[in-house]
Amino acid sequence: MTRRDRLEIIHDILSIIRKHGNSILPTPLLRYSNLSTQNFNRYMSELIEKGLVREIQDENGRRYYTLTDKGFKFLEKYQKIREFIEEFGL
Amino acid sequence: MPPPKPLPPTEFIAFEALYFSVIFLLCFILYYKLREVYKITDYKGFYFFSNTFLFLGVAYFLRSVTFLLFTSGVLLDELSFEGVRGLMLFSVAFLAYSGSVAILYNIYSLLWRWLEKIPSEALIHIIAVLIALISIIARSPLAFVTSQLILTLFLLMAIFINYRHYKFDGKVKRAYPLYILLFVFWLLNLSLALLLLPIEWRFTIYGLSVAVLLVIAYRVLKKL
Repeated sequence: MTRRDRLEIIHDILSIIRKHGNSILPTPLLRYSNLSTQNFNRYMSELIEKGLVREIQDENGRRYYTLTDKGFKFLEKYQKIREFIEEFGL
Repeated sequence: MPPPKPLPPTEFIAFEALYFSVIFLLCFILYYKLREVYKITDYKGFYFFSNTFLFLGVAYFLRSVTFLLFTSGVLLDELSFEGVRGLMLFSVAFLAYSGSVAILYNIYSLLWRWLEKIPSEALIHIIAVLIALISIIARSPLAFVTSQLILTLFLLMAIFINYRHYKFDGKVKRAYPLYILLFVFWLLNLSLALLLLPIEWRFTIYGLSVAVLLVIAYRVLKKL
C-alpha cells in the first residue's frame, strides 16, 4: 500500500464523516482514518481551524464531528484539485 | 550627454497601460484563486505556484514602468536625464528581483515533491537579490536579460525532472508547454522593454502573452 499524502488524508477524513451521515464520534473516526492518535488529533485541530469540520456536543456531553459547508465544498472539488495537480505537475 | 528620446505618443502610453492592466489582472486572479485553494489544502505546490503569479504580476508592472522610462528619455520637464537614469536603474533592479523570484517559485512548484530536502524559501530571495545587484552593478540590461534566460533554462531542467518523476495518467493534458510559453514570452516582453522594435512585433508579442495567460487562467478557473 502506498503512503497517503496530506491531501489524501484530509479527503479520507472528510469522506468518512460524510459517509456516516455527517456526524461521527471521535473514536470510530480515528479507527476508520487509519492514523495514529497523535496524527489524528493534529489533523482534526487543523481541519477545525480551517473551518472544514465542526465539533459539536450533544446533551450528554458526547463530542461529534460534522462537516461544514466548506468541508462539503472541499469534497466536491477534491477530484478536480487532484486533476489540476497532475496537469500542472505541482 | 546624448539627446533625450521623445516621449511616446499618448495612444502608445495608453496602450501600454491597458496591456499591463490586463496582464496584471490575470496574474492577480490566478494568484487569488491558487492562494484560496492553498488555504484550504495546505498543499505546498499551490503556495509556490500562486507566488509565481504574484511576482510575475509585479514584474510586468515594473516592466511597463521601465519601458516608459526608457522610451520617454525625460519624464516631465522637472526630471533631469540623470534622474531618469537613476529611476531606470532602480526599476530594472526591482524588475530583476521580481522576475527572478517568479521563475524560481515556478521551479520550486515543480521540484518540491521530488527533492529529499527542499532548500529554504529564503534561497529564492537571496538569488533574486544577487541578480538585482548584478543588474545594477553591470549597468547593462543585457546582464539582467541573460540572468532571466539562465533561470528559464533552469526551469526547463525542472520541467524535465518533474516529467521523469510524475506517473501521469495517460488522459491528463500536461501543462508543461504553458510553463515554457509563459517564460518565453516573459523574456520577449523584457526584450521589448529594452529594445525599440517595430510596433507590429510589439503588438504580436503582447497579444500572444495575453493569450498564454488566458489559457492558464481558463484551466485554473475551470478546475478550481
